Amino acid sequence: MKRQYNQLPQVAFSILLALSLRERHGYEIIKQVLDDSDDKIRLSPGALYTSIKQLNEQALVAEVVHPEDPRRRYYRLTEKGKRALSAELAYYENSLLLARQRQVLEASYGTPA
Amino acid sequence: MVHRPSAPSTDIYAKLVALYPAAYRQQYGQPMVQTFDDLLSAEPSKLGKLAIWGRALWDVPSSALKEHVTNGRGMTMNRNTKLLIAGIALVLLLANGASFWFGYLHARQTVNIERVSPAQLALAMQHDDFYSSYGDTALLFTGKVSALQHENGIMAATFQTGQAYAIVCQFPAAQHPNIGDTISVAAPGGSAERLPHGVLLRSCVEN
Repeated sequence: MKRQYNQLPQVAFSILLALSLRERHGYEIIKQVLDDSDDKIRLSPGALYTSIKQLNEQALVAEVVHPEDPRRRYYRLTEKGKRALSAELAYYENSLLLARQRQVLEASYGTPA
Repeated sequence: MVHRPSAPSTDIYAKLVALYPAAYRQQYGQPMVQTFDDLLSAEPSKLGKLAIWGRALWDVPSSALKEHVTNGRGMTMNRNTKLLIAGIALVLLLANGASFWFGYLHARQTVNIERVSPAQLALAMQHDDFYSSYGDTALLFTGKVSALQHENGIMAATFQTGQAYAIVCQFPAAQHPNIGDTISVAAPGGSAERLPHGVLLRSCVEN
C-alpha cells in the first residue's frame, strides 16, 4: 500500500515532535511545543488534551506511569507514532526540497544559518 | 490517589472541567487540572496569570463543546445533554464578549494612546526603536487586512505597510475582520514581538 503523508493536524504534529526526544507530561509538552514553534504555538490544557485523546485513540501516543512523579500523567510516542512522525517529516522535507528547487522560499526560510 | 489541587484558582478550573463529558473527564480531567496548575505556578506575573485564565475561559468551554458534539455524533442525545450543550454555548458567548470588552478597556485605559500608521510601526521595528517609542503606549491605527491565518483559536490578520515589514495582529477567532476590510485597531504596544518580516501585535481589538 502506498504510504500516506501529511495526515496530521498542526497541533498533533507539534505534540508528536515534542515527544520525539523523551516522554513528557502535559506542562512539559506545552513548553516544548512553544519552544519548537518559536513561541508561535501556545497550547492551553483543553486544546492539548483534546489532541492527546485523538492521538491516544489512534495509538500514536501512550500513557506512561512515572514512579517518581505519580501525580502527573506522562505520554510517550508509540512505534506507530514514530512512523507517523517520520512520514510527516519526510513529506515536509520533500516539500522543502521542491520549494528550494522552485526558488519560492523567502530568503530567511530554509537556508541554513 | 487523587491529587487535590490546593490553589483556589486551580479549584475553580477543576470545576470548569465538569463541562466535559464524563468519560473524557475520567481520563483527562485530572491531568488537565494538573497542567493548568503547573502553568499558573510557573508564571511569575499577575498579568501573566490573568492571561492564562483568559485563555482558559475560552479554551475549556470550546473544547468541552467539541467533545460533546464528537460524542453525540451517531447517537441520540438526551435532554440533559442538549441543555448542557446550550449552556456551554451561552458561556462561550459571554466569555467571548467579556474577553472583547476586557481587551477594549485595557487598550483604552492605558495612559498614553497614540494614533499611528502601520508604516510607522513597521519602520520603528525595522530601525530597532519600536519598544523605546511604543512599548508603553496603546496604539491606534487604521489599515487594510491583506491576509488571515487561523491557529489555535486565534486569528492573525496581516496589514500591509508599504515597507519591508508587515503588521500582524492577533484577534480572537470569533472577532476577526475579513480580508480586504479597512479597519481601525487598538493594541497595547507592550504586546509587540518581532517577526522575521514584521511586527506581531497580540490582544488586538477592532476600535
